[in-house]
Amino acid sequence: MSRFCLTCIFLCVLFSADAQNARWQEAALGYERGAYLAEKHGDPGVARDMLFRKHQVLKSAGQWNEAYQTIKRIPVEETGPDSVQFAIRYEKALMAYLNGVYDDAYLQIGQCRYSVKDSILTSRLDWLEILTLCELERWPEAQAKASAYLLSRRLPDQSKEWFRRIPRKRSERKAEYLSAFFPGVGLMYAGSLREGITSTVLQAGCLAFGVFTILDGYYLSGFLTGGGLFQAFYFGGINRSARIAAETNRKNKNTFNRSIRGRVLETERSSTKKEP
Amino acid sequence: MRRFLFMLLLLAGQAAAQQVDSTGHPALLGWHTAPPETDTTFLRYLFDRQLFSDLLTETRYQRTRDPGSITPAFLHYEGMAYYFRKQLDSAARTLAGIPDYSVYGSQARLYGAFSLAYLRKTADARSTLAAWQPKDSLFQSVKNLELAGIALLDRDLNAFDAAQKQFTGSFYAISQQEANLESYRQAIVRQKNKKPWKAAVLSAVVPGLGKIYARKPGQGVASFLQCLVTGLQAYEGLRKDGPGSARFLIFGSLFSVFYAGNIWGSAFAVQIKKKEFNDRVNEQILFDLHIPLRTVFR
Repeated sequence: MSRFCLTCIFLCVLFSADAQNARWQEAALGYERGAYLAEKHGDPGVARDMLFRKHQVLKSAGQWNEAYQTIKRIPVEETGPDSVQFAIRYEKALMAYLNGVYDDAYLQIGQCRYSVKDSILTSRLDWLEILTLCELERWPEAQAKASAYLLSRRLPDQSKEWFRRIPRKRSERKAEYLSAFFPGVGLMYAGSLREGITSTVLQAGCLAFGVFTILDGYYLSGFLTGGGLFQAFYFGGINRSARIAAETNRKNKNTFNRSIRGRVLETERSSTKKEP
Repeated sequence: MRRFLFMLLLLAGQAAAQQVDSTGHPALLGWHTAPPETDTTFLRYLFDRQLFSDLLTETRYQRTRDPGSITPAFLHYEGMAYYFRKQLDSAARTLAGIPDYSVYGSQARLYGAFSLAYLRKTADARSTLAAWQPKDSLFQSVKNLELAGIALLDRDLNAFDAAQKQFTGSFYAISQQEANLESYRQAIVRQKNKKPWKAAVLSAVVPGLGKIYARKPGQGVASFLQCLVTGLQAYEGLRKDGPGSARFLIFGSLFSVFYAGNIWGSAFAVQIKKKEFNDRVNEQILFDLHIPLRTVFR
């Protein structure tokens, strides 16, 4: 068995060299074959190591989805050493985050904190947890984590400054109601002032055209053209305000999370440099 | 001593990794070109885990390094990997290389023909199936079903009727699909009766009626309302201000545009509906041709 392990280590070197030469696919396949042989010889430890390396190759190649699928195939032994458990769970959480599966990322972080007892290791998850909580729109929790994170790295607590402008969520339903009772106002509330003003002017214009045309005795034109155009802009405005509110919420969230991401990563980089 | 041996292996590995063989691959990549038996089991391992990209990389290497190792099993896994990656042209070409007598022969013929049918190369699909003589009655029934489906894709109802005569309805795996193909045949016959000129005439008589005839009732009602609204306003302008008034000219022109456009649109609606119908039916036929393959070769 030890000879087999040694052969595998030897092959790892080969495929690492291969990966360095940017022949990602070949290297990934080599590791997959390693995992297959290890499985065939009943050595799950080596199979796990091979898959982990395959995942690293795919990650280096920027094939995050494939890397995520690979790391998901690695079982985590609860009785295994903390360092091994941490390495796998950390990568699972990171890959889930990079693939936009934030629920799974948060789950993996939680499981890692539960099963890995070494707090030095689990503290390396702090930055990822903050970013994941932000993506899940759990900003107050992210702020509390950020505060603890900065203090643990002996940095001044700037979390209040970071989270000073938590995006205010605009209610889609409220935007619709506002548009229904005050045409155009819903669009302004949703975040598009220009569209709101345009909508108000158009609806008022159509209504005025309809009324004056009816007063002139052109009942059909008044009702059909004035009224028809007014109802089109009116109901269109209601629908549009809900869509604009959703779009504004998404934009605000992305902008805010991008700023937090920049700050957290900058802090993480500088604190990692300071470490011996 | 152990550490020394390990270092020695490490250095040897790095040196070997930098060597490149005649195929342009690092020499020691040949490690994963194991004896044919092992390679097939490795291909199966990759196939079972749906690692199709890795599988195709592996088969590419084996083709370059050892063309003699290409067995029916090799072609089966390669062809099916192409199939599941939706590279149907490559799948059909690869599966065509598997001989009939192989254990993979039946699956190769049926999946190959289906891939060609999906690519609308129906003549090739038909000839693939025609050249194959299945020994099993289930496979014979699946072949008939595939031939009937291909005939429907070609809208060749005579060929379908000939194939349909051989439907047995005795195999659970395909009995539902046999019934479905018959219903598609009836729907195709019904759809053929719709005429664009009839829709145009109907829309000229009552705006929107042609679109309802083309089975687009929503568009028909909308067209009718457009014509009604502009027509009424044109009438109001004519009655109050006379034929030379701006109001009559504007709404009269709008009415004329909507009326003429509706006649034109109704004729097109029949053709569009026909295309939509054909696309939908073809999709359903292909779906029903695919289901038995998944059931039989699970």
